[in-house]
Amino acid sequence: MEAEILDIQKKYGRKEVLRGTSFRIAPGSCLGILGANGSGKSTLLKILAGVLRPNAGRFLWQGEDLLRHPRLRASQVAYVPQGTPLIEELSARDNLRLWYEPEALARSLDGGVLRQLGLDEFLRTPANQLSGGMRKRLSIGCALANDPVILLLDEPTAALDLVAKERILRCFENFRQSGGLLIMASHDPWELELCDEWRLLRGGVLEPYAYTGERSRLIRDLEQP
Amino acid sequence: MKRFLTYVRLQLRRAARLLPRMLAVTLLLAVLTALSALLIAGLHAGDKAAAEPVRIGLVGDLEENMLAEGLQMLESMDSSRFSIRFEPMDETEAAAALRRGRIDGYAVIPAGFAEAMMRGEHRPIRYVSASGGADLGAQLMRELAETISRLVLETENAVYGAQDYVAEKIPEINPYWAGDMLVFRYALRLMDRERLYDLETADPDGALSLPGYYLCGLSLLFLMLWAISCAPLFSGRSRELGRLLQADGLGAAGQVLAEFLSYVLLMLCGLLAAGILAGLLLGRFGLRIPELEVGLPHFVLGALPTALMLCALQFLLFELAGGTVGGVLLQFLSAVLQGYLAGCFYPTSMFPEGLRRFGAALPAGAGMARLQALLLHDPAGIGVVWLWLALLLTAAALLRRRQNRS
Repeated sequence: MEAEILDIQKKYGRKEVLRGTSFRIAPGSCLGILGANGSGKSTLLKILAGVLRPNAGRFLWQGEDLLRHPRLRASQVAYVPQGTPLIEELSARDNLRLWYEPEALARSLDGGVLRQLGLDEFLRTPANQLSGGMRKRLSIGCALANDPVILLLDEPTAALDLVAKERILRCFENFRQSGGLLIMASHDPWELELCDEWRLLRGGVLEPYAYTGERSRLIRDLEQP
Repeated sequence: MKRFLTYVRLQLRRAARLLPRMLAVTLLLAVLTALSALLIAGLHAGDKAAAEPVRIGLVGDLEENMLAEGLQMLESMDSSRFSIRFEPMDETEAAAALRRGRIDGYAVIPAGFAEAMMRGEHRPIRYVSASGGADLGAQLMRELAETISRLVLETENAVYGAQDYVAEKIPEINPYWAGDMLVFRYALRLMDRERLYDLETADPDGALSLPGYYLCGLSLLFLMLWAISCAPLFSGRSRELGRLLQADGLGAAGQVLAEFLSYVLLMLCGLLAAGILAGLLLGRFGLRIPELEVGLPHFVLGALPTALMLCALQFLLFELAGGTVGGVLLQFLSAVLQGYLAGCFYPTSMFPEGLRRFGAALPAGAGMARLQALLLHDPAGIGVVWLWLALLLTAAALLRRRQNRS
């Protein structure tokens, strides 16, 4: 069963950011969305996550429009934003408690995804004392609370060192291999290599893109109006 | 609902982490407020201070006959002898004495002042006070000068009018002699010590005492400035978290309510600490506020709706500002400006009517009115306070919703 995004449109005032964006994505695959700054990548992900309301469009999953069924969307879709959605003064465990049922939290820490992310290493540490990599792992851990099928990622490893990057990307790979579906906005070659399909968002339109890993070509394509 | 309760619990935990820091700032503020209260009470408590005469320096040619006699006369009058003390000095001396606070002000009398007045010339007296004319004393002096000018002018008109009448209608009487007699009689009446003037301070039922008034003013100011100690609670909030919670079903209203509850918890702890401290200080220094005879706890409990309303105002201001620096600055400006308009520094009766109405319509004005009514055991103003609370929280929720959708 594929997820289908149909004719998503978004305007900020008179500025048309997304002009009828449509695509399909199959479970167990990863879609990389490329685009220059301000091209609308984050807006698209926010719409799919239910943070922003589109002017038009549908997000179909198992025959249901997730944009019109918030409860179903919340149980199926997880979103990891660029910033850190954490309560800074509270420990990692307290932050996880906001999203997890107590039993589910214990299970996940015991051998589930939170263990894979290595969150058990710093459960008692306040979020504002964690490194950038730890904070991102904690944010991903929070997002995965409902065992989602679709994971939306907005530049998930930006500004992280290679070790932290590697650890997080491994977690995404595991998610994909277990049948999960990833949609990732990114410029990072490491992240893009994880994807098996790429699309370039330019002028509010999402076009198929053949990513080769060649940086000069990517820069040239991003610079084109 | 489950997510809301979890969020409330976590926000309360977050507030508890900030409690020690907030209590330290609260105690500091409470001590400063109490010191101000003691200072004000000290200024108004003793009869000795009230009996202290106003000291006025006089600069000018005091050897001038009429002026010297006039001053001698003033100094011999019972009333002025106890209320005003004149000290002849030159202008340099007077300026130095004013700077050192040895005199309250000085008047510069131009040369030939009395003679010029007799000729009908206008030579104004210059009055210099430490506050540049903005204080009540300077305003009273101006009022007094105008009254005396009018008194002299009208008396002069009456005497000359009577003199003309005598000259025209009663030829057997020397009109100049009649004029002199009128002046003497007038002076005798003016000099009648018993009936000269008196000042009575009215204290009708339903009006607050001065210490009671300042208790309300300082409490309000304390509640408004207190928010500064809670800046970390607001500035540390993640906007991304707000967006995710909204997408997950916990809307802006729920988020605002949960965070407001944690803020209220902090406020209650602060209010309790400040109340205990105020009680101790009042007892220690024997400061008596007539309206507080029912007890300080009654006042503190009664002030809770006002405190909640001010918390909602502070919540909204932090929501508007976003960052710590902007938030603290906005809180400070709001506290000072609204406190001024609500009458925390000067009684609002001194303000023009329009400004007074504007100040009373603001949240702080409503809070001040409620605190004053509370001291007078009057339920008035409680509805306005609840209304403001609802409006401010609604505005905060709408703002949060907008931020979450951006």
